[in-house]
Amino acid sequence: MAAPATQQIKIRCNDEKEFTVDRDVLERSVLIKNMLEDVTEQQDAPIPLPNVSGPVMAKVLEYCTHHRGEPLPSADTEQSQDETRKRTTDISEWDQKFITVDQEMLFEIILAANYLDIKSLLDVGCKTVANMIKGKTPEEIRKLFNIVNDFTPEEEAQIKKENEWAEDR
Amino acid sequence: MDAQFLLLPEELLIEIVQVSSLGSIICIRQTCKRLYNISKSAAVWRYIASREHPQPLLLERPVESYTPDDLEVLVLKRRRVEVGFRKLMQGGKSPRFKISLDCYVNGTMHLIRGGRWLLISTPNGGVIYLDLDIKLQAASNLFNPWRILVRERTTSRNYTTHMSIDIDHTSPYLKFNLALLCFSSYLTTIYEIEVWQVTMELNDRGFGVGLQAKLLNSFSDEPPQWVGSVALQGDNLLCTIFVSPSYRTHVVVLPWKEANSADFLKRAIDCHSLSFSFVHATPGQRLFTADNGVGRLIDLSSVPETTTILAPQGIASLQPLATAPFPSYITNLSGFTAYPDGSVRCVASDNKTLYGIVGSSTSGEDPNSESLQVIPLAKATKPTDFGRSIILSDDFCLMWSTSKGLTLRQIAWPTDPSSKSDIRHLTDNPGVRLDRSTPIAHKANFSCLLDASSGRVIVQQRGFLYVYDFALLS
Repeated sequence: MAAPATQQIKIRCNDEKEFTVDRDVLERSVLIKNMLEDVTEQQDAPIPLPNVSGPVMAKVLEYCTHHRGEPLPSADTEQSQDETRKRTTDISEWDQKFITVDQEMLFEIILAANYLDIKSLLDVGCKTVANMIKGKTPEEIRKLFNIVNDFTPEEEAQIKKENEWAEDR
Repeated sequence: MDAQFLLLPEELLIEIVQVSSLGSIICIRQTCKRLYNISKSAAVWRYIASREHPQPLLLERPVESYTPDDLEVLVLKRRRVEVGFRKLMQGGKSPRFKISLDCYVNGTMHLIRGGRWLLISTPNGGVIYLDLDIKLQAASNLFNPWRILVRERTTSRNYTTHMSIDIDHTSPYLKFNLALLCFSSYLTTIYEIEVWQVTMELNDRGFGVGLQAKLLNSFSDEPPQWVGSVALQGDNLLCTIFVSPSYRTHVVVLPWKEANSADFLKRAIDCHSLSFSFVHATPGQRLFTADNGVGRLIDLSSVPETTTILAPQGIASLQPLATAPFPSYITNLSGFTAYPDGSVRCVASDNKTLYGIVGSSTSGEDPNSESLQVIPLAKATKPTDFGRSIILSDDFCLMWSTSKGLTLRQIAWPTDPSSKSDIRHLTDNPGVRLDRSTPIAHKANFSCLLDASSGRVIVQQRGFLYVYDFALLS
């Protein structure tokens, strides 16, 4: 396994930005891993990634490089992975520092992780958003994400009433 | 800032809501219509129903048949129970919802996990049951809310019936085996042991409307001595037998599926305890005993087979899975519960201390990894504080004592029972008196039950039942 590990792969983002990356780093993306497995011959043309921009890809690669070598969730372990996901709401220290970015970048990373199929990064992103929401009132959440309240005052009062019990949790 | 958040595709918004806390979900749904709909989706609530509690929700039908609203109600009901208990802990107020069932009952009781079905034995050796959800919903006083689960025996005898229940968690519908030990000492002493399979009766929409029982096996043999209790666990039925001349307790393991009255003995262990109550069958074919200052966890399959109760295997000669020093003067031991992480827990007390007992294993991967720990939880201020009766249900225990009456206590179990250092984090809430105005007189004969998953406490006194419903407190 050692010999082809240093194989370099080229990728091209939607803003024409290109990266040359070690294959094992890129293979943290299940999408790219499957693409590479389908291609048997050595290709020099970069893999096009039309849904990811250069700055976001740089960030994603930073994550993949840090986590390179960690076991990837395979089909067999999917269930146990899911279990771990359920239990831990906390994010590791490095991941937390890594994900401390502005909202726009955070959502871009989530979208990219989803597109590239990097489950662990998607989790970190979603949990980060969940942590941002935590402890906030509906009005504060609207302000945080610039959400327009499209309820009528009657509907709003009704929903508030339905969920009143939860206030003191 | 632009509205990036709502530009995320639906599947990702669902993922974010799935990992949010219940409180957050309630707030998220109040922000706008799109998020409201997402917070009501099946994907979200199926996920949360499996996420929210270490003990899975005990569903009564396949999860796919639940609407998101049903699941939300189930999950939120659990949360309401927590809030209800916490309110009681903080304010010390009596629960406002106390329903007395105006019907005369007098027997041993069992509340099935989930708090809906209450089983109670009748003096004639039968078992009747009550659907508490229906009864509590309908304010009307039904003439006779009880229904028969197991038919009554002869009317000429009075029976005392012990029950042991083994729930089949793999079944999508409520299904359990029920072991009955019926004892009567009128003129001649009779013991009858039966194992019944109980399943839910479903209506045409697939909803559980009742329970029905089918007899699987019975042993009408007169046991050699005095049968103290039965515990059903999988294929094994454990009986504690009190041997009269030697005053010793033996544990007999009956493979009940193959057993008949002529030959029902497979393995016998001499526990030489003074009391039946310190022997418990625990899940995973293990036996817990507390005896002569030692707590032991024993693998039942390691006990050699015997042909007669008169030649039992001495407990000291068995190689236990794990041992722990155990207080010598325990007056209570209760609430053996198995958890999905492979641990078993119970509480015990002497007149000074309340103990938590945690047995853990890595479910058979490495037999040496079993451990048994006895952890002091709380000190008594008076010798009578921990009374004679303790009932454990998940993180709560209900105890009755002459000095404090009926009190509820919360226990913070260690999150990782295999880690010894974590044990230090075990804490205990001082406990609150359940209800000062409760009709429980100190001398009265009463029994009580607790189901933490539904927040229900049942008190039976002088033939009447009182149901406290903490889910209604918030």
